[in-house]
Amino acid sequence: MKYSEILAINSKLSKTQNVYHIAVLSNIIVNQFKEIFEFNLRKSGINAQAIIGDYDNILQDSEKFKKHNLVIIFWEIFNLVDGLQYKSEVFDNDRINEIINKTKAEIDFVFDNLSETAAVVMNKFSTMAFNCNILKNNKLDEICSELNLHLEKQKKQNVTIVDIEKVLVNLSISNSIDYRYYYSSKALYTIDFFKAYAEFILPIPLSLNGKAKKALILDCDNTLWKGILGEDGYANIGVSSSQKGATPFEEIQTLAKAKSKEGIIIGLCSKNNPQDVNDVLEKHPGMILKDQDITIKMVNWNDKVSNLKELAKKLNIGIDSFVFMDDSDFEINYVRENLPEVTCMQVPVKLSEYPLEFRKYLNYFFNVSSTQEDVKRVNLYKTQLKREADKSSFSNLEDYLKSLEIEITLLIDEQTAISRMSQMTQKTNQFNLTTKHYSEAEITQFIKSNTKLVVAIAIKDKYGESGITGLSILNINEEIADIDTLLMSCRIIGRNIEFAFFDQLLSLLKKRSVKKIRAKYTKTLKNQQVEDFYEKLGFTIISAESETKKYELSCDQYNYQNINYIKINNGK
Amino acid sequence: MENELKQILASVLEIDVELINIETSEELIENWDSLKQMSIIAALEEQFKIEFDDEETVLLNSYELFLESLRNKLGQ
Repeated sequence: MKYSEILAINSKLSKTQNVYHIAVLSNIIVNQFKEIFEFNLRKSGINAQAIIGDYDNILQDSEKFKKHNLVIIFWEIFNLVDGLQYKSEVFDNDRINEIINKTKAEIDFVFDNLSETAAVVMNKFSTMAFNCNILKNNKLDEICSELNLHLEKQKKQNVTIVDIEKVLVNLSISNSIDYRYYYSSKALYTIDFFKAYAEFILPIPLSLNGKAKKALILDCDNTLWKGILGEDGYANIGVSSSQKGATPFEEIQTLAKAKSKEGIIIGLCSKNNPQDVNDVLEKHPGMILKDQDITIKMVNWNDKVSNLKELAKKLNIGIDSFVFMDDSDFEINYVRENLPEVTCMQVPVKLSEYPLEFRKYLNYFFNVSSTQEDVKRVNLYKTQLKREADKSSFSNLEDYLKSLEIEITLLIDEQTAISRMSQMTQKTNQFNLTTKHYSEAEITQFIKSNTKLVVAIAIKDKYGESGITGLSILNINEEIADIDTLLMSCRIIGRNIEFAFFDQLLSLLKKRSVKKIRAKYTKTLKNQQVEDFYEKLGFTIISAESETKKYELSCDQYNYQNINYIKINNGK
Repeated sequence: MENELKQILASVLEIDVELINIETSEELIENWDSLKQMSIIAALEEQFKIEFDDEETVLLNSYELFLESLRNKLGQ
């Protein structure tokens, strides 16, 4: 899209609520980045507002903007000292070391200031704009390596280092760098560079705002293997590099398998006979991706839009968290038209381009930090599907729930769970009363605070462990407690766990002499199911607007839900 | 071509396209600063696939001057 169109549309997409604040710090001019980055985020449903810091004011701005949701830093080596790209050649070693040490100290200062910022994106130092034609490394390259080593060593939990050279390589230096404007106004980068860079780092704010993709749904014929199973037969489909033309498929399967081990759901959506596909998954010796790597399959002759909807329902995740891959024009267009929230990737006609294109789409699954729950996730979904299947044999929900032998373990101010708790605030959309996103740094602060209580729950039943799947953050001010956050992962919904959880929260608050609890429901596109949750618990509504409801409850007026078939464990 | 020029000026300067006319210039428009000037140049170069030289990036600072320059570069 053209820059002028981006400017026009970007201003129309601006809203006043739920602003995601971004600050861009730099020692060069990067002003054109603002609208381009805002546009990319606003298109994805994040109401971003970016502010560009003052020219060459990174240190001061790191103090000024430390409370922003996301801080991006463009720290260009060429302007550490005006004209460093040529002056470095005539500086003596002492001067070079002075520059290196000064910049290292400044980096430490900046990271320190930003240590409690939700997320920081720091670009690696690069000399490419001026050194890409030089055969031998020079003093500028020396400075660059030293500083990059320092970045890796010193970066804190909340810092993501971005390799800006990947963007430069894809775009080319001549398309990325505006030497004309660098010499006249220290504006190094072109509009095209900013567009490519914005796209490249987009997965970072997406994942921090609960919009990382969760499921990769694949077609089979000519997507997972070369050929059409129903026509070519089991023995003739191409899955391994030993077969002519099939290497890209081996690569795709291997990459997908690796992702499933990281917790990404791999599903199949294919028009084939289910038994034929199962035979391949279970018995074909060349297949890298096997039945155990695949969480869920929709192999039938129904249309793919219905199948994808069914998959979303069974997995109990939003269909907007799907990436769908298929080779067919028809299928891709059909899904694009009917399910615009699904990200679609069509297998390229030139198969040699397939693996590279695939890797681009894998970026959509990017998570700022990964947790234990991620690794177990595929298994968790599988056991959930098993639970659902067994459920149908019970005529009465209560009997079924009793049979599950559910156990809740309460984790209060638990430091080892910080990563998972932060992740839940970013990913849990449905059973979430206020949908507030918190970084690990913020959760850590809450745990340290005397006036806040952070209660997580880990769930286990006879089928296995679901892991840490619920969270409440409470603000306690003498006799009044405010429920800042109350959420539960969708995989434990429908078992009355929320009621048992709330009973426990009330007991905890009473022990801390709390007499009154205040709560809020903030409506989003996804959390309608908890619209009346507090009403069910007996809270009184004190105010109701279109997007928010506020409640109150006296602790001594609370009627315990007493879900007696759920066992409660305290501690680790 | 005049329409595209007007649209671009309107988008960058954040004013109504109807208000762009022969008098529109850096002097007259309050928020038309050097950063906006950079954006206008970038947008025009992208739209018309042309390049302005170093001098032009600074000297062309009104609707009239841009119009004349574009006419020359596009052979109109």
